[in-house]
Amino acid sequence: MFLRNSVCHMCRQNFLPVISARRTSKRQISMDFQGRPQFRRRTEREKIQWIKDNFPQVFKKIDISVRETLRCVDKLPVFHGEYNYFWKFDSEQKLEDWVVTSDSDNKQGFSRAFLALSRNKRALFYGNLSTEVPKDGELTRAGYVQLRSPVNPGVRQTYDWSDFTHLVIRMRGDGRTYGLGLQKNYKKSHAFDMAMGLTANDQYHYPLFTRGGPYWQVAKIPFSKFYLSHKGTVQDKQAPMNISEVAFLCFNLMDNVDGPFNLEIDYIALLKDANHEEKHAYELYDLQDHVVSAY
Amino acid sequence: MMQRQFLVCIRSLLMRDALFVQASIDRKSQIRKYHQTAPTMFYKRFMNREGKKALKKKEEEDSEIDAKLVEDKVQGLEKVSKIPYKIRVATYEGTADRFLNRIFKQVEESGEKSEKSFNTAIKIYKLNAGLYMRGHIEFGDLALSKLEEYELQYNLEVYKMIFSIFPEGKYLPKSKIDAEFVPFPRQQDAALKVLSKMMDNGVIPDEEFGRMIISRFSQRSKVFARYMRMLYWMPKFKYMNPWPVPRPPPKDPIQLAVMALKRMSFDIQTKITVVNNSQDGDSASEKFIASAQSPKQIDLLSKHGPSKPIIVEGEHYVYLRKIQQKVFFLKTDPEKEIMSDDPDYYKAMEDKEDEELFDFTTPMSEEEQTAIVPKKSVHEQEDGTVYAMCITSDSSKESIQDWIQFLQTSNPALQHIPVLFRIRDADFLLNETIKQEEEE
Repeated sequence: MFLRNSVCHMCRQNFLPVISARRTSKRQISMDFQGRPQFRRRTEREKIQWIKDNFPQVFKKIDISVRETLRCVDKLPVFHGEYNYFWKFDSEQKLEDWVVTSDSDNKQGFSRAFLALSRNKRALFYGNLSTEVPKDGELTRAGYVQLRSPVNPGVRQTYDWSDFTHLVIRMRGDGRTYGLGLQKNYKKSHAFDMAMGLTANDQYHYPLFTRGGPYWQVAKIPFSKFYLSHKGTVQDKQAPMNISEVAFLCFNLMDNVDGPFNLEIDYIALLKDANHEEKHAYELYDLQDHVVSAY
Repeated sequence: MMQRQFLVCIRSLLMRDALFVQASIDRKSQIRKYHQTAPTMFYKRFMNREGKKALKKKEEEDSEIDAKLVEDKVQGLEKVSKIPYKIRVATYEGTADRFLNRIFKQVEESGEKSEKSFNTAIKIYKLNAGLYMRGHIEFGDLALSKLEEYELQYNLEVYKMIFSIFPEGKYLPKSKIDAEFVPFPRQQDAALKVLSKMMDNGVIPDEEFGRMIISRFSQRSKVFARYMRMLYWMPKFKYMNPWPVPRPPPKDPIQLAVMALKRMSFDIQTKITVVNNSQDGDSASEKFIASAQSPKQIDLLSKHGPSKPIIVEGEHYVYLRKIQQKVFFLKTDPEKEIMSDDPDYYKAMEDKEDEELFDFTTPMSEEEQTAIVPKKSVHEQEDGTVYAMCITSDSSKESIQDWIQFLQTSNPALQHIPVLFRIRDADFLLNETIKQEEEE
């Protein structure tokens, strides 16, 4: 595998796994009758029913959250060259919590997307992107597809990646450019933002270029290169990303190219590279107020 | 006396001119009068004063063009199926639409589709538009949709010509507050469409473009803000791709195959050979096989024993921005089956961590000898080793058999190894899952 056998270019050290106490566990997302996950706030009736269904598991949830809070006190530092696997796609259990959405779910298009285990026991994200515009009278473009990671179970629904500097993904694509998105706390914004979640659609984005072919490919992307976008449009006022509050990671396809796609993912990991000193790759200009607008 | 004679001469001259003018007025009244709006001025310049037969011919031509346009629309609608609501097809067109659609048809009938003809179409519109430039938004939309037919999407000059349709000095706001309440919003939206089309195709605008925008819409408009945004972000994104595809892409399928194979191969020493099987010498029906193999793969193949079979894996898609191609691989199956992790996730994690904690060595302990294994190359993967890749013009079974025969010339070991064909459609998985869903 890439990470264990590889060596840092600058200091000629081997990359080592992190000795930390962060763990992920499964989470039961409430599903529609069609199998789509629900992210809105629950009504009281739904809450009562949830407690009745999951009474014994409530104690487990409290247990997990307590364990996490206790572990944060004894947090060990992460040194140069250490990595931590965020998600390893080995079995079907690991695929359960990942959410697949497309524009056909929102009645904005006709593309299909699926997630399955491939023959090599890796995650296969495949489907068909269609740029056919439905005759609404409102839409001028169509065609998007998304793979979304699960949210951290427990009270704190965010991942803390502030120790790390790079995102490492081992995948095998078909030559298309996918998009990587990191979205901030999504439920907290609903609670504390008065106006229906101003920051709920803020996504830090960077393209993921694939080569195609039979060879596995490793992409190592630093967090400083991600740029702010709101609902897909790149914003004028940029700011460095707050990595200590990451809600989820997603793979997008918004190519404008008609045809089937497939992406095979082996693992997603986080790396700390001390030789990378950049904090933000884009200039932080002061803009006049009449310029900044979403058009 | 002299004065009177002088006046008489002038009067006779004027009478002569007046008679001529009267006659010309009578001749003009024979021409049929159209609806009195600005587009009528356009028709007058197009019309020749020949006679009624010529007029009838032109009417027939016009009706033919009308029929063609209606047919195109209906054909486009027939492709769309299962619409819950009805669409009414207009059997007539307004005079402005008639004129606009006819410019391009006339230009196409005369010659080829090229940059010159496109520019002449725009010039015809500008010359005949007159003071008010009626219909310039619709003409702009039409011209943008026709760019792909003429293959001029990546040309900056053409976008400048389209943008010069907007008149200068008419849409400027009078003050800062006036600019905030967007003056002439439809015209600004049309200009934004031009800029968004440039952004889609990766064309970066000029300083000259900026000056054009400032003269037509001021510096405080949305158009200028988007122009500056494009100038800031697009040069950053232009060189992000480590394997860029040129704009416009080449049309030769051999070149495309070679580009795709170069991008797919990790080994720098891969040799890409193109085998041409053009029998009759026609360039249109050229068959070719482009295969990629490196000397390392040749070594591995020679060491591969004749007991294990080699598999030709079938159609996978490779994209070069918008161009789709089908690839075939020469592979072996993996030696061991890939094991999944234990279902008991926490125990497995704890065991791994405990093992690694005690992995350190002290100078006091003796060094244990571990096995020295040669480093695995890129081609040897957990899936199995990859020996070669190819793209063919047909992607048919015969072409692949030809490919393997070609490989046997450089790899004599291939003649003794059994080769299995595992060829499926590239859409096989997709169609299966869709069928399963429909059954449910």
